[in-house]
Amino acid sequence: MSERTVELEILRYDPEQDEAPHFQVYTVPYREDWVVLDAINYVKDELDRTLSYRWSCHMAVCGSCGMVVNGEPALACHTFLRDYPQRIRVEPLQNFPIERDLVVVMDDFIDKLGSVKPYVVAREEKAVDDGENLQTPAELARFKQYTACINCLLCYSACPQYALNDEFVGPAALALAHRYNLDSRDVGRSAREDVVASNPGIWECSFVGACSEVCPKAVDPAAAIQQTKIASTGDYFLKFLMPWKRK
Amino acid sequence: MLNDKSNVFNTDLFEALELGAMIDVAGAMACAALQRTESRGSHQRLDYPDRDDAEFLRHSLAHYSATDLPAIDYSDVTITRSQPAERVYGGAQE
Repeated sequence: MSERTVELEILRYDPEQDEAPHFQVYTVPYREDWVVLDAINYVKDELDRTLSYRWSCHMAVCGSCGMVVNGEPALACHTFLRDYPQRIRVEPLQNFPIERDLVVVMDDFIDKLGSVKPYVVAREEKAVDDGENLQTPAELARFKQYTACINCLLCYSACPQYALNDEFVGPAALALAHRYNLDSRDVGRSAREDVVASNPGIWECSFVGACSEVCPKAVDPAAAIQQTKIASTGDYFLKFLMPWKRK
Repeated sequence: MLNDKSNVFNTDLFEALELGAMIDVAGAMACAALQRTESRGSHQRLDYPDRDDAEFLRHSLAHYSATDLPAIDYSDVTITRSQPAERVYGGAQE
């Protein structure tokens, strides 16, 4: 009996050699316990050293191996061969330029992430010797789910709104802005508002919810964005009722 | 041998560079371990099963040499809250 195999149809593109991306098919062994990343590593180790892709942890923690597997954005380390047909198509994330093969240029996301100040903006500077900024379990629970983001960009690949308009700040960056806005130690909400509560910010989202469906860490960015819409609508009306409250 | 000649995101090249660095680090660890004639934490030697604080409660420092094995010397450890003690398991704790 011949060994069971899987055909991987991988998108290849080397800007130095190729005019356009094309598919290359590799036949790899099937293993019950292999994820798609194992099969790609087999290609790299045994069949073709020129294949480029990002990966690191192999356990859905680092967020490096986001790809499109049979049309769906997924972590290659989190998708088992056994859940796919015999032929599996692997493409780079959508909505980003291809740098090479399965590697995309993620500069746009990195810039947007920085623009929402994804860190605690403290009320006042505090020396390390003054100790921790304490928080109750209830205060932590308000935002904990939004801390689970691993910046894998599956949500940007899935988002039809980002596909139409690359000015859109996008799911992960807005979810992280919300995470810090909800943090009891943070006072950065008004400083984030220019980016977050703008047209290309939360208001570009039409609540399709594809981001939350593909998120491998159950962050639910769609919920974060809708909650931010409610909060910033409240801010807008409060500005008329209590003009002294916010600058 | 390098198969990938591309200048763009060439992981074949950087894995080769990483391998060179890993060999340097492995050499530094092996040389330091050979001179550390004791057992401590995850550094366990059948020929020297006991810890030797008098000689080796010190950091090993490996100095790179392009032509020779790394030279090993030592620096003092600054101990703050956690005092070093023998690591014992199970019934040996009582």
